[in-house]
Amino acid sequence: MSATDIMQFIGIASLLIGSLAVIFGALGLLRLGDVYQRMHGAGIVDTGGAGLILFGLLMLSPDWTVTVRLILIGFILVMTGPTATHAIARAVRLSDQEPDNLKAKKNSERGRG
Amino acid sequence: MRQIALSTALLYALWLLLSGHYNGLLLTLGFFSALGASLIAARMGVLDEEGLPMAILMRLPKVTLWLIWEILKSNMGVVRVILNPKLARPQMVSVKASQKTVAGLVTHANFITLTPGTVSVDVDETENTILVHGLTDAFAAACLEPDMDAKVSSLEGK
Repeated sequence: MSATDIMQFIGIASLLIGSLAVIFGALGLLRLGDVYQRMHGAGIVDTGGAGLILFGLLMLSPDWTVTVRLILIGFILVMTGPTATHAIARAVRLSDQEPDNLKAKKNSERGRG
Repeated sequence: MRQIALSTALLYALWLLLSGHYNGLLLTLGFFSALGASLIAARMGVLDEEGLPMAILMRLPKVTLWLIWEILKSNMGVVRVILNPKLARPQMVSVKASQKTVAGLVTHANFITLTPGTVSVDVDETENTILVHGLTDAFAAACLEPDMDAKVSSLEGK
């Protein structure tokens, strides 16, 4: 097995695992409880999913110009992804949505008082 | 002035990497567009330490591998919770940050959001704290450990 074969194998494996991560992220968006928890599901899509797919494509890239573009895409995703997630989280908090379990606790306290 | 030169150099390098055209006229035009964009950015007042935090950007490669490892580990943790949503014990914790610059604080908050299982919900600049929503006890506890805080502070180099 030559070096390119090994790189191809790693690339394809990483693409498959990345796609699986995206599926799990989508499943998380559907299954988890409130907005905050669902955001963690989306987090898998932008980090594990996008990261592994980009790494896979990097291993399979035919020449250096494609490699440079893929690295730039990765850098931009790492910079913008968390900022966007934070913007959503902050907007949810500013709209006075409390996480599910904290809300339940507050209600029970109110019930006792 | 230094910031304008630096920004022009970075933008021109980016343009050279992406354009694929290397004749005299286009090289000159590319240079002037990079310079023009930098001058407009300087006039907008966004080319300061916050807009172009070179100190942090230069040191990023130092923590990249560690960060990728953390991201992969917590990805597995979140997948486990997704497969069994009963494991979720969402909670809010307030994390103390030791960063001295605003760019450092933002980097810390971004790193917290970048590792799945924890999302930074609110950043308090005056108190230097970050309000974090954790998916389970373990994720929330991992944020409170001084590990990530120390790594981000080492990026600031102060």
